[in-house]
Amino acid sequence: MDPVALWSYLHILLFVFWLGTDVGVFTAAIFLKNPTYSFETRLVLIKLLSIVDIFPRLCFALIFPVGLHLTRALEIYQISDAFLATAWIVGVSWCVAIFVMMRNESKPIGKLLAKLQVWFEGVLGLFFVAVGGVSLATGAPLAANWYAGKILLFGFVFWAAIALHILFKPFEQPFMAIGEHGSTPEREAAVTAAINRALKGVMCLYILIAVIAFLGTVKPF
Amino acid sequence: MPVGIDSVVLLLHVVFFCFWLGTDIGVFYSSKYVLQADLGQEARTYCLKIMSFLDQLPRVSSFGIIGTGTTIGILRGYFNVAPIWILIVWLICFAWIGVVLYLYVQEHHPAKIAPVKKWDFRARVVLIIVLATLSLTSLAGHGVTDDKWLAAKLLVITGIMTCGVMMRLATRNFGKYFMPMMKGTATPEETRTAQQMMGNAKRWVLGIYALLVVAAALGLWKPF
Repeated sequence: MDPVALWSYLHILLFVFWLGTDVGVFTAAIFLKNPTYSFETRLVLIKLLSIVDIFPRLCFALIFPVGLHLTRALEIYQISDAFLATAWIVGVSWCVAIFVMMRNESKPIGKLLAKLQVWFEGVLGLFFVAVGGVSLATGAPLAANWYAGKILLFGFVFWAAIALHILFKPFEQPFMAIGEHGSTPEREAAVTAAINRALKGVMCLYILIAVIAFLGTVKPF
Repeated sequence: MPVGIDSVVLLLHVVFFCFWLGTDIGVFYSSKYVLQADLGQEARTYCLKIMSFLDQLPRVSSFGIIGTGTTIGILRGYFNVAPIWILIVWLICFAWIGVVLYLYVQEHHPAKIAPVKKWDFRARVVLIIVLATLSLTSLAGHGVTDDKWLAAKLLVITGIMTCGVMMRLATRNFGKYFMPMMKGTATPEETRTAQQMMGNAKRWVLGIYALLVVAAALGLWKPF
């Protein structure tokens, strides 16, 4: 079996299940803002949103190791077995953490993992931005500009994910207050503002992913 | 490196694949809530709204993928047809996308869309016959392409279109059982029938997913 075709195929499938399913999350979030819906309806929407959101999160975790395999298969760069193994360990561990967080959202372990994830994303984002940025500026360690640009933008994706997490945080308290004490214009305004801010972050994420896909397919420079 | 038309159309082909298969996952999960009898009527109504809205992306993308796929096939010389077919196929695709969007915008006017729905169904059956003919004649060595992988891909796309038609047939009288559910007046029998119908339709949907993955693999691998 041709390794380039295999890893290209998996890379594309991850892109498909990342961006494609995220549209479902985005749509459910827009519906969630509507103050005329009952709290039960909005809880169902959150449930739907959370289930579908698993797909983009898992794809995010796995796209880098798969991308590394593709890089090696295309012979763009020499990728050592040790680096590949590390990327897979990180990717698979992250997937496990995502499932643990999903099942234990309100428990201490879930909250701890969510905090660790933010730090993890921050550090990995910095790593990719540094590698991509330095390569674009100096031509090393990544000589191909399109590839360096992809890595730089991939780093920004990590930071966008953190921004999303922070922007969506103010949603929880007013939303739960609506469930406990009923809807008020102030609570609804706070919920809408948090969702709107998060949706702007999501749009940035989509643009980043689309540009990354463009760079990888078209290789314009 | 100059940006070639081939790579841009290829990227669009992948993006349409993304909004077909990926977004359909959202449709699939929304449909679960729509038929959950223990959920409130309002919650199911809005899940139905989300499902219906999201469903437009895969419907539009399916024609986008045909248009971009044909363009790539002709530009790269996989299809033994004149380049004018790019324009013809795109005109058909845009017209069909118009029909899809018209059916969505007018979905609350069943009498108005009934004839369009009927013609859309018939046109899909014609498309299946055309695609099956193109793929089988190509596999036999007398068709529009000499590449067997592409002929096989056309056959897989025929299968996808057939699954879509079978799904429509499986949900033909769905509204009759589903509307009482949404009004809260459904008998247990009606609820069960609606759920069974959706269950049957889901088998065809899963068939579409599986065949889409196979079609993508054939396009990338070109194994024969």
